Amino acid sequence: MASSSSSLPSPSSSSSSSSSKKLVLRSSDEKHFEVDEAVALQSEMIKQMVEDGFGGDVIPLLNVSSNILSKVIDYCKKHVDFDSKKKMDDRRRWDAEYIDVGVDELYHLIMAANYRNIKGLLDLTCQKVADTIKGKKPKQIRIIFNIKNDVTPEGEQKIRKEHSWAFE
Amino acid sequence: MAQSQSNVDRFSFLPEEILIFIVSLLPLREAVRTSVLSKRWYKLWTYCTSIEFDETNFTGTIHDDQQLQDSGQSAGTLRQMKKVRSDIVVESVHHTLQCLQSPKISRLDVRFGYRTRYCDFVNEWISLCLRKNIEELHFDFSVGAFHRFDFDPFNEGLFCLRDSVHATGSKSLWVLSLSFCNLGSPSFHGFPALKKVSLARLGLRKEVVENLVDNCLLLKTLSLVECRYLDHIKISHPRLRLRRLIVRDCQPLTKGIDLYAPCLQYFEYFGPVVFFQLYRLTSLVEAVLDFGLQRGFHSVSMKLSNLLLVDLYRAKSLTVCGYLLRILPAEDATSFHQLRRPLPHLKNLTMVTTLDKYELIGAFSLL
Repeated sequence: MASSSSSLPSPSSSSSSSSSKKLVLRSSDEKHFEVDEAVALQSEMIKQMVEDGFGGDVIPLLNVSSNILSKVIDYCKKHVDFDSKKKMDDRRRWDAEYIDVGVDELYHLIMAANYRNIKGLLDLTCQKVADTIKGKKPKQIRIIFNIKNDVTPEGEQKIRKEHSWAFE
Repeated sequence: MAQSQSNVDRFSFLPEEILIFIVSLLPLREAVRTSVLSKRWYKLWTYCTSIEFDETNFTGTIHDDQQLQDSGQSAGTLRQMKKVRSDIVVESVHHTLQCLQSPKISRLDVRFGYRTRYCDFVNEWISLCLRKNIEELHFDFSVGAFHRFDFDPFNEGLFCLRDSVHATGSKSLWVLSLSFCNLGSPSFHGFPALKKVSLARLGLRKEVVENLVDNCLLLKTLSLVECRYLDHIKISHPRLRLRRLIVRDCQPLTKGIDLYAPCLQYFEYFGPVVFFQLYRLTSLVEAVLDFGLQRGFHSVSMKLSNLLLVDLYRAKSLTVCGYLLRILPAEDATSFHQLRRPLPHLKNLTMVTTLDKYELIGAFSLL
């Protein structure tokens, strides 16, 4: 759905309803995405920009690459549909499938959701991290998220002793 | 989940508020465990605002000193071998609360077997929570209680809420759940935000319930379970918007239950037959009546058929027990005829019973 910057706006990227107002988003690698305004407004940041009168131009998203942006747009599109239908089970199933991604992609989604201020996506991604941590030993968590351990063994022992109830 | 492909510790560089949010989504025990991951993660859990401890998740002995002495060994030696479980819980709660850095504690949920030596600790926790704008407070002191107390709700060994707590009050507290303690002489005047109150296994005078209902007009859910010394439940404040009322095994209820609750949607009663006066339950959706504790004929001068016909007339969903089914045909012939099409709004009927030939007639009259 991404189009190169030369063919802006790409007709192929427009969604089925052509009557609604469109906004154009530009990713950090200079690709353009045309989306319905309702979809883009899922982002509080974009909503603010539109309210401040930037809606007519291309909205640059400097921190978001095109592959992450298209994934974020998927989420927003789907949730515009969900908001009008209110089927909780469908929504949960779709979310679970959507968020089944690798750690690197998850990180970029969190950053994008945070930067663009999309609360639903931020909740979903952070919950995924929490679910991944749940029930795992510190060693396993460090490996999965590539966390550099800068605590000395003595330091770790001290923490474990201080909160021994949590490490039983 | 696929491991990180790059070798960069990206997650540790997420904004701190995001990391705190992630840690706060974990159960407290797991949140505390993240403190060893790296220096970046060390203090994150101390911004958690929901604190929960349950003694049954702890290891250690549950013996108290008396039992240890009875067993012929000195308390000291045994305690050195294995710490008393509730001691560990109290120490852990206390230390955890001291570590917290966030200016707010939204929820404290603690379950353990109370002993008198914990009194000052619990009082300190309560004051701290009230200072930190607590929203939900759950104390269940009943773990292992039936080994240690012959259930006497005014036993001196129970935790007693200090009057200063009632005086301080809280404008943020909206959920309060207390089990197995002594309420003292409470006034709920200082807790106007309470919406959900659950009182279980405690001595409860009718004045306390009246005080609660008169002062907490936002109250939506009230649950009274195994309360003693409660002879009368009267809930009739005209501005009260109570939605759910649960009364389970409260005694003695000699004066019964007086209810004027136009907003009540759910009513559940479990216990012997008592005198019900239910007015204007115009919003009622679901009722559960279980007289499982009733033996023989009840002595209350009230027909249960009237209760169903008049007071619970609007229920869409009804759960009844075998006793009610047996008593309906026995009450008299007129009510049997009245009950031919008695509950016009009823959509779901659940019968908790073993059907015999007497109950079948009762069931028939409801259908």
